Amino acid sequence: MAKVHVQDLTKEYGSLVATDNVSLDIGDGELVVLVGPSGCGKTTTLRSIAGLETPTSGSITFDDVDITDKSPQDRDISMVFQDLALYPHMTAKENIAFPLRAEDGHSESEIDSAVNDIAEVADCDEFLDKKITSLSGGQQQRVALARALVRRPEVFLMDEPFSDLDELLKRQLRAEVVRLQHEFGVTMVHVTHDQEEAMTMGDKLVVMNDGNVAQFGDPDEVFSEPQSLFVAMFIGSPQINRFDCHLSWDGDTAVLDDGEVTFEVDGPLVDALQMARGDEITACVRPQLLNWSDDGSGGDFAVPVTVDVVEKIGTEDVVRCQTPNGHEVTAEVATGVLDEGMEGYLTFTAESLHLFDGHDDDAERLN
Amino acid sequence: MSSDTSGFQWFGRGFVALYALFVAFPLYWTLNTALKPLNYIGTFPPTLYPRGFTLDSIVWVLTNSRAVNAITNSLIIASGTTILSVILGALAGYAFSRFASRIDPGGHVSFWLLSTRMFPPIAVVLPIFFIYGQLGLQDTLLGLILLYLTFNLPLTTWLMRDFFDKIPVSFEEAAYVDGYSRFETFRKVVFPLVRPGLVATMMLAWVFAWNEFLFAWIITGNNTSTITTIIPTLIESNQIQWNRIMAMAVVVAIPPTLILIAFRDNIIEGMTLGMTDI
Amino acid sequence: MSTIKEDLRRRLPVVDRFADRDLAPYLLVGPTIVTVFLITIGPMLWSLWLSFNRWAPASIAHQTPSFNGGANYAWLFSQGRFWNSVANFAYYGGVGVMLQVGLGLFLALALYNYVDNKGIRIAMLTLFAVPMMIAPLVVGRIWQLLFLPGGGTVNGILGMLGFSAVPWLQSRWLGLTAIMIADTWQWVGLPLLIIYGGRASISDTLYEAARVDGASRWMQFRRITLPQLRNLIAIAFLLRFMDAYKFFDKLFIMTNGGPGTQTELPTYFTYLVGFSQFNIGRAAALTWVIGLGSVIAMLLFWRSMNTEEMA
Repeated sequence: MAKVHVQDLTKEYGSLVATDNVSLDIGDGELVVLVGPSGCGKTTTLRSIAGLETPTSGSITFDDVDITDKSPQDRDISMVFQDLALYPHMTAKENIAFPLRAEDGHSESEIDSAVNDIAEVADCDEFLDKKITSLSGGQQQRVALARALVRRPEVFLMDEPFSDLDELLKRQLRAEVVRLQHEFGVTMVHVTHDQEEAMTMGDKLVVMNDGNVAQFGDPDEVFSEPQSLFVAMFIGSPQINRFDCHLSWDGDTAVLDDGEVTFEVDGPLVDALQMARGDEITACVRPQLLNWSDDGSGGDFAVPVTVDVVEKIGTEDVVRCQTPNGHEVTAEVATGVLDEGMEGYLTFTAESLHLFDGHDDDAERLN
Repeated sequence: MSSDTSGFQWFGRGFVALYALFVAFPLYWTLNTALKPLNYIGTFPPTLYPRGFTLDSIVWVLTNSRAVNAITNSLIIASGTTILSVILGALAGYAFSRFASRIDPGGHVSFWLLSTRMFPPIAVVLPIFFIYGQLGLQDTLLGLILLYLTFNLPLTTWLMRDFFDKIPVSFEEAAYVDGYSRFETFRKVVFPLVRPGLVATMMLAWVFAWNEFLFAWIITGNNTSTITTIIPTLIESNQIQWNRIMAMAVVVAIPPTLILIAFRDNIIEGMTLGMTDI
Repeated sequence: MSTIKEDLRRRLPVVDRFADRDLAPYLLVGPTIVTVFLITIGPMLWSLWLSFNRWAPASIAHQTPSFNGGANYAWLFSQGRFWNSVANFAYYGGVGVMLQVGLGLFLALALYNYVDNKGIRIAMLTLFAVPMMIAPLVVGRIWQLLFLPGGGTVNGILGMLGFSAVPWLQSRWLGLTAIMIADTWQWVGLPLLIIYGGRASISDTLYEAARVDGASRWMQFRRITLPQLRNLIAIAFLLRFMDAYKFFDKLFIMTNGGPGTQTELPTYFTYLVGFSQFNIGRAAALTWVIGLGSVIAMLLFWRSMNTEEMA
């Protein structure tokens, strides 16, 4: 097990900057998820930790030992690749034993028992003697996990191996990975573009965009206090509601106007808005924190809407509404309350409002 | 297919069948001629089956010292050039497959390499003939082995790159992460997976060398005549011994045909420069 | 399962390996590049120089190369024999290659669409590939036997069917045609296999969608099959055309350029100038004219392909 520290990692491919001064601090035994849209630099960061990419500048340390220039062979890591990289000319068992055979001094019986132990833990002991090509997708994933864990590495890396699986299997395997990671206490870095996967698996999230770390924190923090507009928009499902507003002042009251809806803000949020660099403010509110109200009462703010579509997702409904001017607002409310075509208000409190300094992805949080 | 298409269907099938007959007939006729005595050859009407069946001609080819000598030479030359071109081509093909962005950005080098194969061989052999004269390589096995690299090396490089491309890079990266050196990774992961392609490439290189005529005709003399170079001269006796000539044709054609049948899928892929994968 | 390379030039993966600084890739390609340079590029550059020299080692006056400007080129363009060989090539290369690709296209589609049994399809593909594996010289010998004027099998069969004998190999056009038939017999397999592989990789849903829209068989061929196979047909053309340029063995054995010099092709003429007359400067000039001719033909071909695409 090891602490992993990434300092100012920059990787350029010609004129393309894949990662731009990325710094991370990953604690011993932590499960950290790198999440972001494709091309954000998450895979480059992971591959740099693995030693499969040479950084243009910056350094990487494991337990304070600089390993930036070490080859992957000398890093004591293991990795599950996006395509799993299981060898079709070997059985499941031979694949799992493969990392052990790279090390000198293991007897056949040691290897055998190590493989059997890990196969039992990773739940793939039933098909050890089969060729990889005859296994199902889920079985292959388990073999890949077993192969990565059999050597008990210092750092365990995963490059979105679940992306091709169906939803149910994906959930099972996520839980499995988290269980195994806890059981072994191994430091783990996982890459995904799926924010839901990131939220459910990670002890810590690293949200990346355009080669930069947009936010580094635990999932609750990232969800409830997104540090930039990009993070607010990327994390959370359904996506956060957004109002691109113009800021003006009426005495001590700040008036946010998106051209249709106005929010008159006073109290503690005023201090935040006073720090804005300009008069462009983006106000966001999570669908989960919106309430339905027939007459607009029951919250600090109210947005008049008509219910457009109701999506049933179980105990709650995702309700897609429209303001009279056609701005879409999404709410998550108790199931069965609302029907298509109903008119009313979505209300929310001042505490649930996220304010960002501008309309761009990198607009910073104000409150 | 629905019933309104059956006219097309039968026409298509009939055409394929007829063409198959057209392809098969000369093959059959070669055997038919090789297996009968001279007096049943060139008759009218033609003798459609090996009447007076005899293996004399085949035996003659396999015992005649000139023919045996030529077969031996061809075996040595084809095998030698195959080994050289496959070793060099596999190394280069691996580099073109894995380090393309560094050694071959844009793909020009590898395409240029393949395009050298498209020049008329006479353009190559004309200067080579005199260079070989200076180097003492005319009429030597080594001379022909090296000369055959002109067409086989671009072929093996191109094909091996294609076969290496089919092995995901992640297979190698996974082995590096697991602690294997480059060499060990090649030995344990890449080689076993590329082996069928390697074998097909070897077989094709071998067949092209075995079948080559122009270079051998120009570069070799009496010392190193190959199977193809003795075929034109077999005719120069008082009577044209068609049964012996066709027996020679059978002997020359059998190894490549067996190779095709044994390694069909990969050979076909190789023949079409990696474009067809049945 | 079939996969097709869209193009001979492939897209290059952006793979940046961990050891950016190492020399391995250069060490791996080095020997091949050096070898190709030594045995192909270098000698051909020398022959380019030779093409501007008078060099006829067999004559006492011209034992060593001496510069003579463009005299070799002027000589060959003045030779009726050279133009005769070019005309022969136009016939053989034009008609023969067209025939091979056309037959290959038709056979590939008929085989794929109308032969349902996979075993038979594979057996057919293998049979059509067999002639490609046989030495071209041997194929020439086999067809020489079939085309023999007296007692040849083709004439024998024609006779059995009540036709009169054809003097194959004994006149210019019949000789070239006979060679073309032999060459087609050997090489139809190449366009066939390329196009078959291409057809197999066209998704069935394209045809299903067209059938739902009520497209006729001919429309499906015009609007789906042909456009999808276009590049492969072009590649098949190019590959066969290049082979036509190299053509030598069958001509050597079947007609020897005869009767007289009537069926000579440019490479065969070059061979005679170089290795029978031992006029090396002239032969070198010939190889460069042929080589440049092939490059120009190839470029024109691609140009016309591309303008067609834009139209």
